[in-house]
Amino acid sequence: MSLEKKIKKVKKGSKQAFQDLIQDEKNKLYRMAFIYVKNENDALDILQETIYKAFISIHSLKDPQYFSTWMMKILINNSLDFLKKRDRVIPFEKVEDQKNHQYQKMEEKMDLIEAIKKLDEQYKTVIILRYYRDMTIKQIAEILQCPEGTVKTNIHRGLQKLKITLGEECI
Amino acid sequence: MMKNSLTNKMKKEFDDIPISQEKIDGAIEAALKRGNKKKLFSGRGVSTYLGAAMILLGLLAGSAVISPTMAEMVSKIPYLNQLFQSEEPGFGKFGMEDLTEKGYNVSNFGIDYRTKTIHVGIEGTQAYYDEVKNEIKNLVSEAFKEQGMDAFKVKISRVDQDKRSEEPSTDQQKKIDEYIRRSSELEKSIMTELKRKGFDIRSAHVRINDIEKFIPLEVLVSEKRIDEMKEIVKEIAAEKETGEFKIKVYKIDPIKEEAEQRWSPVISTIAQGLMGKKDFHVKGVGYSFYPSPLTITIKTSVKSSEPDTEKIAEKIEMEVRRFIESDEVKDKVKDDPYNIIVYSKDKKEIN
Repeated sequence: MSLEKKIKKVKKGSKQAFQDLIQDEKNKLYRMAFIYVKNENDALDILQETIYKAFISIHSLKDPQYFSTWMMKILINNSLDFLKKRDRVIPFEKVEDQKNHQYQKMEEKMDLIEAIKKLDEQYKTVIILRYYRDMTIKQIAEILQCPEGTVKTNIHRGLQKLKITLGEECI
Repeated sequence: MMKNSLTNKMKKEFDDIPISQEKIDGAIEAALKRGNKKKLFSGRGVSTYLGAAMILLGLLAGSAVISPTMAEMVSKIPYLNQLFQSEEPGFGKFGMEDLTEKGYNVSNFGIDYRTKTIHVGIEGTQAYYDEVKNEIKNLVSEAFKEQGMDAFKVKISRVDQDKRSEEPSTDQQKKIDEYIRRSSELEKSIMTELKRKGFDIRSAHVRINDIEKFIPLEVLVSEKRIDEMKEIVKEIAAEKETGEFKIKVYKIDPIKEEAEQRWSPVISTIAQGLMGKKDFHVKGVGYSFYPSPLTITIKTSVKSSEPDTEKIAEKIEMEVRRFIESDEVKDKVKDDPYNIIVYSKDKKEIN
């Protein structure tokens, strides 16, 4: 069945068609959410919220070709919303924790994923989209609704930061 | 160069993030379920979409000549398909849960098709009832209109908790318990005896109560010794109980039974959709598999002598056929043959 036909079915309310549509995407979506929120339960919540929103608002998807990027956009927005809400409340123990963390950080052996998790949101998103999802600068600019120049700058700065954390040779 | 190595490295590490497929699929399933309930209810996009469909259908009904492109366009958004829910047949895509989810204390929700009235029962104090009554009424009638069903009135009533929890007195309860005990005892004896004698019996749900003494027997069509069987049942009943029992035999065809299961959500959607929309003038929908093939009978409130009767009958039949022939429904009902008969108020076939 073509992508278009499947989306038409989803618009009619078919759960099955939607499941088919996200078959190849679901694990990637989950992993992206995981990078943002860093734990399984929250990542699952975000995945659920993303699927729900996509399913009920699929009518706003004009061109079936953009299904995949459209889903990603919803996921990213959900993740960022979630972080905004969560970061407003920092439990007291965590404050102490963060202080100690500063010292440990340098000693930890950092792998790439850990380093990306620690990036600021604006760098994290573009790096994931560019290098994990193989999107072009133009596509990323469309998803994030910002100028291509900003995307380029953020990718560049993000890479710089990764280099600093990981050491030149890793990248 | 740099991009490639980073891409590869990143992809590899990303794909190493552990996942639990079960949990991911569970989250998706939950999201879709939640979405299905909400879908036609709150999505603004959907309502405009449906609105457009309704206007088109209205236009179509008004014009005698249907251009092929127009017909094609409309056929993409069939009204009945919008209501169809194969998994949980209910009232289109709206029900009690949509109200409880919004925090209302709803204790019952149902449609009386005879009077075309949606009944909603609300629990709580009189003050609460006065407060939410109109809100709920609007919500429900809007939700049904959004799905194209404009023929239902909405009636809200307050459920008196004291009355509702009133239980039958102990004497009455004892009597009922006794009836149930006697019924199931007789049922057991009949089933054992008939099975022992090799009859193809499916069930014998005996009903003993104040009003009746009744033994309905469900037997497979292949069973031919009906009279003999009735005699045996009569004897067993006389042995255990006093008084005359009414015995009735229902023949069951397992193939048809299966077909019936396939069709039941389809037919309930047809019934609800046709009765729910004023333009169709439908009073009732019935169906029968006996004799084959499946016959769907649709009763309307138009007289056969009225000028546009034929047009209405045609519109109904088209709507139903388009629904049954759609991919979604076809998947479900296989290629079962079916007939559609539309009756006028004066019981004449008008299609």
